[in-house]
Amino acid sequence: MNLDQPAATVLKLVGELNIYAAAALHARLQATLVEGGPLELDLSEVSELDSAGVQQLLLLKRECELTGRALRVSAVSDAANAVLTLLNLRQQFA
Amino acid sequence: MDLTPALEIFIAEAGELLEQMEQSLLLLEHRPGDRELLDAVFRTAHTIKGSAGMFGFNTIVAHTHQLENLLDLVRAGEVALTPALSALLLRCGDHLGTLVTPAVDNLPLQPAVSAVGEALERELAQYLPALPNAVDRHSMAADVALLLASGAPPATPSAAALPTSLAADYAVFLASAEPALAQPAALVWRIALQFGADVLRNGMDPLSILHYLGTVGEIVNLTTLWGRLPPLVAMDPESCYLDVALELATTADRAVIDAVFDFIRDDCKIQLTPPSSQVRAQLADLAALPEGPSKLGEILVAAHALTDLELAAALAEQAAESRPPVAPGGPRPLGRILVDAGAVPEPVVDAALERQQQARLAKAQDSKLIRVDAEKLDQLITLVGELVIAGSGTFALAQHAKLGDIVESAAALLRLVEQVRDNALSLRMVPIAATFQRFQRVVRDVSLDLGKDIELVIAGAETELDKSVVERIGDPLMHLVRNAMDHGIENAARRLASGKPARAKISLNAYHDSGSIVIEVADDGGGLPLDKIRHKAIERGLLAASANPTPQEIQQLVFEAGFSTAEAVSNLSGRGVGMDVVRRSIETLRGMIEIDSTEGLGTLVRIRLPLTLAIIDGFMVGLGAARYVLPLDVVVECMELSEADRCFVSERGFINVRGAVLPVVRLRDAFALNDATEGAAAHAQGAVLSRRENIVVVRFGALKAGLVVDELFGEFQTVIKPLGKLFSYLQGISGSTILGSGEVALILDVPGLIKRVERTRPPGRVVA
Repeated sequence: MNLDQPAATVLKLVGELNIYAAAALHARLQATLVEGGPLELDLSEVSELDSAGVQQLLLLKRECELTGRALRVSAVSDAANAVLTLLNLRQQFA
Repeated sequence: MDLTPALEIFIAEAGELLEQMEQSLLLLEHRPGDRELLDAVFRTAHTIKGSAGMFGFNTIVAHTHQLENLLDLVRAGEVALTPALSALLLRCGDHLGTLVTPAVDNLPLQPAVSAVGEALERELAQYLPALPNAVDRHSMAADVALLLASGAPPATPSAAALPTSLAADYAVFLASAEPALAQPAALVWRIALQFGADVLRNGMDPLSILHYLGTVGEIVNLTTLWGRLPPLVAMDPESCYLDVALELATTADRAVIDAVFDFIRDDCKIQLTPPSSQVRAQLADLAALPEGPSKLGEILVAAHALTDLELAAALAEQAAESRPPVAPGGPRPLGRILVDAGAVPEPVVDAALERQQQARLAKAQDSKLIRVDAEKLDQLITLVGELVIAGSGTFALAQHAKLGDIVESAAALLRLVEQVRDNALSLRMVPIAATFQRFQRVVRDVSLDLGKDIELVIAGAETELDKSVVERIGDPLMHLVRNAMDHGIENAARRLASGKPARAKISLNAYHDSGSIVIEVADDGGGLPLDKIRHKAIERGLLAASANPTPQEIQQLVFEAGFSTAEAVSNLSGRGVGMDVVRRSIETLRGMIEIDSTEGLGTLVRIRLPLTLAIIDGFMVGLGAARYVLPLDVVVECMELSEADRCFVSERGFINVRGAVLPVVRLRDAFALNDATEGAAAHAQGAVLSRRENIVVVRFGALKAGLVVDELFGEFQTVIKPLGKLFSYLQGISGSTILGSGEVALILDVPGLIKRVERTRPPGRVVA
């Protein structure tokens, strides 16, 4: 473990990331972003991703960039992968 | 009936279109598979539907819609245009005609009429397989027409021009909007989608649009844009902030691609940029566009450069910009809006604008024809008539006063008045074509009813005659044509037996002949059976049993009242009211009818009519103090009545003119003018009674006769005033006119007088 790099906060999103869950997701992102440090995004158990979810992820990415936090996507489920590929956003969440 | 101008145009237009449709259908029977005719039929149906749709005449729209679907299949070659189908289409046209009036008057349909409509639609449906595509294509155009028209309610006079142009344009648009057949390679379209904030809340996911788009073509090169995402805290998680730019490789055409966005159109800004090769294709389409659309948007739609919905959106945007507060410089032109929105590339808009300019020029040429209320024309003719009378009067007064300058100036005035008169009259001259063309349908229908194969041949359809005459000649002609078909033409077996072709021929012909128009109705049927007519005439007391009439005289008997030789009374003719009614209506037109038939070979009925009913170039003659006017056209020559001829006239009623017999009538005798009282009257006026008499030789058709008069006064232009009912029994007089001096002159009825001479003519040919 590299000591210069603080341990990344792991943000694991589970289940449906859609319009119905958008408000909750938004609240969770806000809470997560209050803390500093690198962020690791785990999308391995995302069962559904829609545009509402996608734009939350994009927001997260932009906030990290603005605040200089590292964001890494550790794992992506097939469902999430399909959507990100369709939107040509796969590289954004590498 | 309180009709707005737009509705009046609709009525007139619908009538014309239905007539066109009928003619095209009839022509199609002779030239099956003629693409242009078929297109013409389709266009007329479509145009009727379009303009009916704009007024919300749903019964007409519904009926035409069915018709149109069927016609579409015929055009596509999926349904054959059989005689049965053709007959059905004709009946549909008739039915549409009956729908117009109730629709315009906003009356409910008579049950009988709607029953006919339903029956027709059931018949149409038999030809129509369940093909939803065909149905949708046409309803859409009507909807768009409605949409575009909704901006300007048809009740306002300013909308008067709308139905014709719009409907016609849409007809062209549809005619040119062939389905995108066999497009070769996939083309790459650029599409930019800016999703509205509420897309997600409304239950639409942009992702599903992209999936849907994937079914139309292949999405290549997609970019998701999230520049609109607000700062974290300001973000509403249920609003959409995403935009997508993508390229779509597809063979589908613009309308298909555009249809993908139907569900999100309200929430979304869509930019469709055609591939550059498509731009070239659109430019080519523009160049190849038939004459017609004059509005930029319609031109672009017709060239497949724009969909109807994009056009509607752009128009709405323009309308919004023209509402206050108006931006400096006013609302953007439509072309600019379309280019700004990226809907149409600039070069295409430029080409379309150029095209529009051309269309405007063409239209300006078209509009050299204007519709004029017939009543206005009649007023003009009446005024010109008064002008003619006043002019003649002035000229006569000037001559009387023997003032050289004034005579000259009055003569110049009179010449101008004559030109004005000729021009005014020519305004009312219409070709007889429309009247003749109606008979195509009549002959077709009646020959089907009778089971005879009859062809109608039309000649001289361009011959012009006064509108008032045209209007009144239709019924007599109808009698004659029906008579010819019913009685004249034999059945096929008999025709073949007598060596004629099975297909019978009826011809309508018109031509000008010495100031009259001649209309001929001829058939190659059995001709008039002279013996039968003779017997019948004797039986009816029209002919003395001992008489020995010429074949010509026997033939004319069919014009006597209550004469019919048909063995069986059919529902077409044969009730014995036909021919004498025809003769009477021709005579009220100051015309003459004669029949010339050869038994076994056919019959020719010849109608001779004056060119106009209102004004004539007259020839004035005097009998004692009274003045009479003859139409100048009938005057052949004038000569002095010699002392020797005078005896001949009083003894035998004819004279020898250069070796030919000329029947002569003394007008003084014919009108029972008493020489003595005349003389006394003249004496009282201090005039010396001239004992010299003159003969005016007149001709009408093939007949010539001499009229003995006292004095010849020469040419005299005049307006015919009809005689009142009180004088309708008068024979030999057809009207009156007012002289410059205020005196009344009677107009001689030359055909009537000639006939009178004819009756007293010595039988057989006499060589004097």
